[in-house]
Amino acid sequence: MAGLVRLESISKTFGTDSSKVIALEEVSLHVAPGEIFGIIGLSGAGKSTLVRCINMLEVPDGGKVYVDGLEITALGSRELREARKKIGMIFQHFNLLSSRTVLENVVFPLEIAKLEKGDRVKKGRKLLELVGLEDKEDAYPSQLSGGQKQRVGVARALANDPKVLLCDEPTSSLDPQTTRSILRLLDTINKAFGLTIILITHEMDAIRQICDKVAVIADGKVAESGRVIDMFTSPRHETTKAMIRGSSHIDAPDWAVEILEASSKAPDRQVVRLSFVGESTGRPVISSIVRDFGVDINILTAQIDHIKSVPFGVMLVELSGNGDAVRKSIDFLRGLEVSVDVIDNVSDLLIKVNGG
Amino acid sequence: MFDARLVRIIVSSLGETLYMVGVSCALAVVLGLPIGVVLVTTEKKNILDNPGVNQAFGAAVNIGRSIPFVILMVAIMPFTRILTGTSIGTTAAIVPLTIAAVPFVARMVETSLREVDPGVVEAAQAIGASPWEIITKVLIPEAKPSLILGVTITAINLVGYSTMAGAIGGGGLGDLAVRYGYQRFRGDVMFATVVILVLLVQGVQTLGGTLAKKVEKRRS
Repeated sequence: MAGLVRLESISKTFGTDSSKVIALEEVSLHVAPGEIFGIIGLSGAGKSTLVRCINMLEVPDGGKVYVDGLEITALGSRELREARKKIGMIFQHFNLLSSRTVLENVVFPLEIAKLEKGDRVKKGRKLLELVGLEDKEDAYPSQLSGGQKQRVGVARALANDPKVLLCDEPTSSLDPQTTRSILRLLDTINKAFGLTIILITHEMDAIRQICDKVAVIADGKVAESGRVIDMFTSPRHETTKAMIRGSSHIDAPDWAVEILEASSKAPDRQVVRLSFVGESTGRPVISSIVRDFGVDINILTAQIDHIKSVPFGVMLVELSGNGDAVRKSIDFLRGLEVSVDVIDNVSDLLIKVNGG
Repeated sequence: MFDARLVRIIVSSLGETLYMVGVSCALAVVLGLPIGVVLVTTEKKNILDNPGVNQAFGAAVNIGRSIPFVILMVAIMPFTRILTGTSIGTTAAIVPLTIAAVPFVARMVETSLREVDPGVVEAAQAIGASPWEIITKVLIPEAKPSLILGVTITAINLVGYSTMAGAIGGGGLGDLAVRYGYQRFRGDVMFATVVILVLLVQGVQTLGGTLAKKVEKRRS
């Protein structure tokens, strides 16, 4: 696949010679048309810089950026302005013009693109309808909630029918409920128009909800990238693992520590963290091991979630049984593509379950 | 207590002051606004990043602001004569008043524009707006309430400067206060002048404040 957005060996360094900070080091990414591509990383990992290189808000020191076959990094300032009209962008802090009403904000890009006033208003109203703010066109941004502001941001970003929508931490200053509704909006737009979306975030939840593919950025480099579902089932890089654990909301209850202490002393008891993805989530694996190996299972905590539409479950259980029944059941589970983390002490519990 | 002639003189002096302040303030805004815009936009990393131009304008503005008004007025008399044909009178006073106010306005504009959220400018850049469009459609409209207050302060300063100009033959309320209030020992005229000046400043401040609030209020 050629890739609608292609980054080739992008490098960016900030600061002077004496105090250099390498933000990006030889980063290459390909985003296919119609994809929702997530870029995740801890704060300061360089992910924001990376997305800003795509529309040259940040000029990379080295490497090339292509959007829809056009080499953005090779354009003059006039051509770059034209190219930017086809690259929509939304921001963490919305960045709406406080001096303009909602409708005037939405049609601002059309004004810059020199569209007739009548056409601007017509299109602006249609966009507001799309984001569900048709009754707010005469309001000023300061009269809106954060979620509404971001909806205006989305409408504005879509005004020029962009080929790609860049989202720079669009939900990072929103509450969880509003975050979900904005992510749903992005998902709807992606499906309705086949619009390619690049989503920068530090929340694994956002990736899990709407992204098809994801790249994990750590220390200015791509730690790993691929399909979201693969990332959740078999994360390779430490950052990825930590982020997945952090997002799979199973907080071990306090009394789990007591059980853990008791079980670590007993040879026939073992606390494990099980994670299921896709098919194995639908299978009655727990009752299978109870029946086939004669183990007892004490469920300490559990959670089932979805990655896009694929179920994904995490469970913290204590297995107990005679002889090597516990070991056998662990092998059996592994054979079913259930990932099993053996938890032996409190630090395991904290790192592997609570996500550090 | 004043006879009709004195009242006429006071009224016409007030008219002269309003004329001097009004015209010089308008000219100072017309000339100072672009300079303020240049000071902000040519800064490093800004939309027209140009350190050379930035430093040149910055230095010029600082020189302009460091010359005391009384000295400026006298020093540029030849220049004033070229522009207006005379170095005495109300119209002539407009030249030094404007020149003194331009760098002041420029710094005021600079401060106001700097308050504009850089994120908003970035959003405009991402949309494909040119520097000119960013200046006229983003920076200035976003800074409007603050700019209005800046003009208000400039106008009030100019009222003060205009009385100095009056003292050396520029006419207006300052001239009136010196000729009647001081040289002819008319304490009542002096008092009336001061009262009028206080009211004038009060009026300008209220007008500017109300206008700025009105613009601001529409947005919140």
